[in-house]
Amino acid sequence: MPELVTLTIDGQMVSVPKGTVIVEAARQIQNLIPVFCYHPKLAPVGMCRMCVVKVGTPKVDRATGKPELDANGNPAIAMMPRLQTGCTTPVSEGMVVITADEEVKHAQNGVLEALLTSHPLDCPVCDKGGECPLQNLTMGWGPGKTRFDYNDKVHFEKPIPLGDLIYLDRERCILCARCVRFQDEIAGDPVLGFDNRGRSWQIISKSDPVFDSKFSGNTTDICPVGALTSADFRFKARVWELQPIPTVCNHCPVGCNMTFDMRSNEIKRVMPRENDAVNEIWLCDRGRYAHHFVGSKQRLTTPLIRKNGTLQAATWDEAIELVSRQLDGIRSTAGGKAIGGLAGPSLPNEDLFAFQRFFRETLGSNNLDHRSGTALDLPLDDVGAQFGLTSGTDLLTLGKGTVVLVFGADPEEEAPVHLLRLRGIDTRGGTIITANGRPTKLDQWAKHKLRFRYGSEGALLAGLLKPLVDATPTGGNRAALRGFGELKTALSGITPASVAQSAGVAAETLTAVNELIAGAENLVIFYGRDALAAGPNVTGALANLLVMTRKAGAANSGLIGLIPGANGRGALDMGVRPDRGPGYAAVSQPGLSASQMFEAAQAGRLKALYIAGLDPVGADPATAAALKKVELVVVQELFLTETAKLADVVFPVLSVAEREGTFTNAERRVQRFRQARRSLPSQRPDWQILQSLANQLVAEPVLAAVSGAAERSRKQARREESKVRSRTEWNYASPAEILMDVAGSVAAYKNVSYATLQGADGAWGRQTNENYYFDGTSYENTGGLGTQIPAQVETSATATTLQPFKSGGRVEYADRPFTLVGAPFLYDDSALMNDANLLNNRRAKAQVALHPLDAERLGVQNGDHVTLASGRGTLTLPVYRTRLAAPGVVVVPLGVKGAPLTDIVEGAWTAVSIRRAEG
Amino acid sequence: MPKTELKEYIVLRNREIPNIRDLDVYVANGGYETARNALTTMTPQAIVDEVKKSGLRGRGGAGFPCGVKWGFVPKELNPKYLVVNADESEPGTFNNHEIIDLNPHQMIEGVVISAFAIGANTAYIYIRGEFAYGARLLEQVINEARERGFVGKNVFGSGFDIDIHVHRGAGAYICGEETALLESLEGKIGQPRLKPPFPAVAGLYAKPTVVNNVETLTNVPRIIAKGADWFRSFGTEKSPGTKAVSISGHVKNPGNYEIPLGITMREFIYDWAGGMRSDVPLKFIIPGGASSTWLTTEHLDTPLTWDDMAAAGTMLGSGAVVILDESVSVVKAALKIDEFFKHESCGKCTPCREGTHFLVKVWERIDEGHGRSGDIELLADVGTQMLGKCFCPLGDSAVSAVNSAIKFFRPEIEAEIAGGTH
Amino acid sequence: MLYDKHKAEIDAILAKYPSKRSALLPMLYIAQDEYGRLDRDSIGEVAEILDLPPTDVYEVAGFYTLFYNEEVGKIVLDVCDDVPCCFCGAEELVADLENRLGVKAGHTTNDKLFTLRRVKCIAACDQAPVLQANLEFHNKVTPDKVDTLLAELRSEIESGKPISISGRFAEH
Ligand SMILES: Cc1cc2nc3c(=O)[nH]c(=O)nc-3n(C[C@H](O)[C@H](O)[C@H](O)COP(=O)(O)O)c2cc1C
Ligand code: SF4
Ligand code: FES
Repeated sequence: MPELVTLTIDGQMVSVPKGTVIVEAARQIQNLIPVFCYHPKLAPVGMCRMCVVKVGTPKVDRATGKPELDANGNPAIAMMPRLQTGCTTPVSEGMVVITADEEVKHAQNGVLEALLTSHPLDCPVCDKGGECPLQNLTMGWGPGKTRFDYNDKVHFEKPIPLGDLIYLDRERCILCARCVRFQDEIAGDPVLGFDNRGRSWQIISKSDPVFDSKFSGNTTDICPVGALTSADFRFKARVWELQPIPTVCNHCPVGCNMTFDMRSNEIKRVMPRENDAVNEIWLCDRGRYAHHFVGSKQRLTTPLIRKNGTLQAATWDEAIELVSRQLDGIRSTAGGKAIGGLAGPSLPNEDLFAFQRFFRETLGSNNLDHRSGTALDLPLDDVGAQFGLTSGTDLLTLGKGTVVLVFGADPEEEAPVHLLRLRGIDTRGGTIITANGRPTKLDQWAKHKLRFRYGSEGALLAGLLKPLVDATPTGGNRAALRGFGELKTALSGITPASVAQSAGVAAETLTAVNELIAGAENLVIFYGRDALAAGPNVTGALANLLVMTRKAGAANSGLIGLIPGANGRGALDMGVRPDRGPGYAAVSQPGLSASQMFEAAQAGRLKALYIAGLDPVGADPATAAALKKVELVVVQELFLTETAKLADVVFPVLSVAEREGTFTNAERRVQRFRQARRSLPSQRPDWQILQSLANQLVAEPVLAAVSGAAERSRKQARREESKVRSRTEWNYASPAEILMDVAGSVAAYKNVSYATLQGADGAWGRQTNENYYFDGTSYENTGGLGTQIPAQVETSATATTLQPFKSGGRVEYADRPFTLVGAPFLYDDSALMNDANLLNNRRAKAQVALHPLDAERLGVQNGDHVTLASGRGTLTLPVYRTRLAAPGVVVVPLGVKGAPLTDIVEGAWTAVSIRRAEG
Repeated sequence: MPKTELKEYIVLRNREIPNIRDLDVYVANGGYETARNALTTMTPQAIVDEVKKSGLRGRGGAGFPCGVKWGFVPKELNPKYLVVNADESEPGTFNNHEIIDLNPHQMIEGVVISAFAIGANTAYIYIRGEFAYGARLLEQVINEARERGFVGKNVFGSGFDIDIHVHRGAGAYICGEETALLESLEGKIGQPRLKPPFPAVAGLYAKPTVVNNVETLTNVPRIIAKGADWFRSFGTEKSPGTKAVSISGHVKNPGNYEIPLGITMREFIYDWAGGMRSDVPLKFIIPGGASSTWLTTEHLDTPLTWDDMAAAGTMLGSGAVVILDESVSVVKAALKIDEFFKHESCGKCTPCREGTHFLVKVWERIDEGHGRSGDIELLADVGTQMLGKCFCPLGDSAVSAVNSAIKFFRPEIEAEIAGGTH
Repeated sequence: MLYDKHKAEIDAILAKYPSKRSALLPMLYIAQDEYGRLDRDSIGEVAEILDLPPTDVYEVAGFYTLFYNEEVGKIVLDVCDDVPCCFCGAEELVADLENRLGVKAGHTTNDKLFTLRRVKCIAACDQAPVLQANLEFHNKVTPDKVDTLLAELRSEIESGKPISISGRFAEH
């Protein structure tokens, strides 16, 4: 419990933790002290002087040290001679604050009048109008009239672009520096500053490209005036016409809470919805500006059926009939095992659950996957569910005592808002350790950076585990750890020096990190694509770190796996995988994985492929051959993807904006999104298509059950028929009902329902009536804060079970001295980036990033072409010199047109040779 | 001839000893002996105590007791820094200029002793960008002293290390404010910091830092050499010692004068600075730099001490007396002063940034003959909305001219408004 | 380039401070002398040497009056027109210089030799009217002395000795 301090504000007593500033103390009792520069998420600066109040403290008798009393026996108060800024003055015991007498009002009037002396008062054409703290405060605290001559205003050229996304109107700027401070303190991209001084002070951005930050949109929110507006929303609507619909971002595993702000069925803008446990009040620019795929003209609007070799519009009845007939045929002739199903990791839980149910129950097939079946697929991640971040953990509260290990991950690109949250942990006194094969932005805030050589992750983890194993006393403790003996054996002979040797990490750094991990009060481990790609040995070893430090299942600790897609964890939880059903239940006869499906198709063993929300052909054109081999390809999609182009039947589906559903984020928080937009009658949600098919196909088992009826009475046959039918018929009226089934079959989702996800009345959200400075920042979360589901260690006795582990070095190829990695970039060419034209200039380019030293050695300049050759193939791309590649490591973006990594990669990392491409 | 004699120069010793800026001359006159004695025979605490006892008050403007400030520095936090404020930019002030140009070694000796007293091994001299020559000269002077072992490692064999570096500003009055100065020294724009923490606890690079004015530190070697009692034999009880005061404007002999604190303004102007330069009579005095409230002929008998000046409603400030005669328009003078503050406003806080502009605009229209009735009240009211509400004292300073002009010359302003073309 | 050319001076500056950023003001002076002003390229170079975001360097270059982002003449003439100078001949001096140079204050002569500026108090009030030429003080510049001063400055430019608009070689 923090020490409490009691003070009196305008006669009302309030007790707040020591160190609280007056403005915050007043918020507790709904006393609104007006502010401009102050923002609860930023360090106070006391610049704008709007929050001035009168402050007094109890007089103390110098001689006795006792409080002096006035004539009435009350403590005598010494009022300070000057007004104080409420946003910077910490409260003290017995303090008396007056927020609204004549003197204070006069000062506030002065500040407002002063601010308006350079303000253009162009509210009618200002995007901020209607949610503008300057308007609000002028109404509430302004003098009502100005004595300043309008002609004396300073004029600037009207809005100038700060990069592609943000416009700056310098006339409107009140110089509160909120945006600059956000970029410095929260985003860690110090790309905004001030030019000149005094009244000529103005915001500038001189980075290259201008305003180079993935978080720039947030500045338009926290700007308390209309100085910073977004290119996306400029002149699109008046804010009061907008209807904000709660949603969850579907672009990455963070799952930021946001709203689609709608007017006449169009998304006019995306705003963050406050959820301290997920995104606080922030969004990244992809989440905010890549919503245009929803309204894209390229969306599929009608079912398509291949006729005479071309895809042609068809009716739903026709398409459903066709697909069910064909599936039925294959099922009865070749069996369900001849059908494969792929459903993407950005589909909602409900659809993924329906998908696997359709396959397992209706078709009788375990050939299920949520991956694309290319060489870039990641192994399935189970430890993230077993040892996941303990439920109830709120990263916003972590700081001192918390150690965060970020292993093989680049949060900025894979889960941008996590970067802000990690930085927050650092700001609050926590310790960040990064372990990566190449530099990332997060390294800046890392206390230690373990820069390993790709392929030696196992060796590095051996070095991290070894001291923990050695420090475990023989006897009881060891005995309690299942798998201890094996682990100990696997680690024999490991020393800091041997690890330094094989992983390329300094022994001292390793030792320092060991000490930090051993001493951590809370241990959180993030892992991303590079770690996942390295395989279960590596992710399992990360889980072992938790087990060995007794943090498995402990409060404020656990794993956070950054699995690609908005619902990668959900796909695993729902069992869209060949080897496990919903809730990771073992299946008796595992089916084929995505890549095995393509092999089987090539070999003629697979007759049909059913693909929802995935584009394997786009990811690897080589898969087209497999698709051409099968009898039936069905695709459910938003767009006519490369895969859809090869389909026999294409079903147009609903986007996240047109339906309801839930996603499970990287921290295993299940969150609900709502329908914001009416769809076309000719588009349907994925689950509904599956339901129609399931019900068509039901006839088959029913008939099977009823066949041989000759010996039975017709009555008995009808009874049996209806029993089978009621067991197999699907009658979901909404995704909410599917989620009820999920709750019934996945233990961790036991308490998850649309009703529980709604519960907005948590500790979050704002005090009433606070829009005077929050206005335009973020909107109160009326859409629910979601439910963090428990990790398996919390409900089963697995907290002491170690994962199998073997330490190993890396194989070197003398003729291929470089390491190629495919790296995820936020702005890629995925379908969800369709029509996100404002982000075009920031998209990752088809080029190979080389460290300047390597470029020097190879004698290549930016733009020169080089050919990378692996054991599988070659890839020729232009060069880009950057310190974001480590020496010896070359980086090519994933999911970018013109950079077909699948031609060349051979695993988690690929040994390549590089030579200058001629011509 | 002055009624009161200065027995001996304390800071402007260049006036007494020709070429004291040369190291040989300085040494021949006992230079660096005090530092040697202090560092080899005295404890830091003894030096702090002696300075405390002397009652030396900061010469940079606020007049805060120097020894007391040194006492705030936490012993246990290291490293510590001593920063010399040589930003001297207050209009009318040019006494530091003379010390730097003509008696620099005494200042450096003061730095060595003071750094030892507070436990700082590094000192920076933050000198205003316009003193380009001064900066070069100081570097040269420090090098000479370093060559003789007066500055650097193990000075005087005392085991104490003191590095002194010159850091040149680049044109910003606000960098004289100590926290803005520290920001500037850290390579940032010169905007004041939120206090607390005070520099003594978290200053340069967030380490304990003492900021002292050039003249303040130039006093130190003499105080340590001759004792607090000797120092107290100059000046008054509460304003002991002397002050190098700059006088400029319409006097016969503008320049710096080292005066014993406590002489009256009248004596200073008429006996020391030769009185008015012509027959045009004195109109008003800006007694402590542009920031200070003006005085008029009725205040001529105010003694030049911190307390007496405060009692007269103004301040001794940086020791800069500007004398203006009847040829000067009050409106013009106030306009020029507020233009200065507008020009130098850093932009951080609203009342100063916008308020100075507001004031300038109103003064300007009065000056140009477009004054409006009510403008005086407007100026006064905007002034109240600024005074005490700004982030740092710069904004408050802009109100001094407004209040002074209205208080002493209201009829003149009224007449100017009435006589204007509107 | 900047670093290679002024390595000794820059290294000496960097050695003075525990933080590279502190070297920003002196570095900008060097860059300004080298390139005649602080434009995008020169600022970028300084940012790179000091490992700073370019925006931070711009900020500083914009805040202080002795950094020029526009091209200036070989010699920058700064006339103090503050109180008390403005009442002691500064206005006359500015007018005189404007006449002789053929430009208004705030501008650079066509031959790119002189930039004339009005500046705030330069701490030499007893010497009014006073100006600084490339930050060297010229005291009591009464109208009769203006011609000689300009002639002197011109011959200095012609003499070919190093000139620093940043005042790095100021002699008085
Ligand atoms: C706007 C402003 C400008 C200042 N300028 C100077 C200055 O140029 N020189 C100076 O020594 N002190 C100046 N000061 C005072 C310093 O902040 C600080 O009080 C002083 O350097 C302390 O030194 P002292 O105690 O030795 O006087 C200024 C203060 C303010 C508010
Ligand atoms: S961080 Fe991820 S989930 Fe959040 S807004 Fe950005 S893309 Fe969306
Ligand atoms: S000064 Fe307190 S809110 Fe700006």
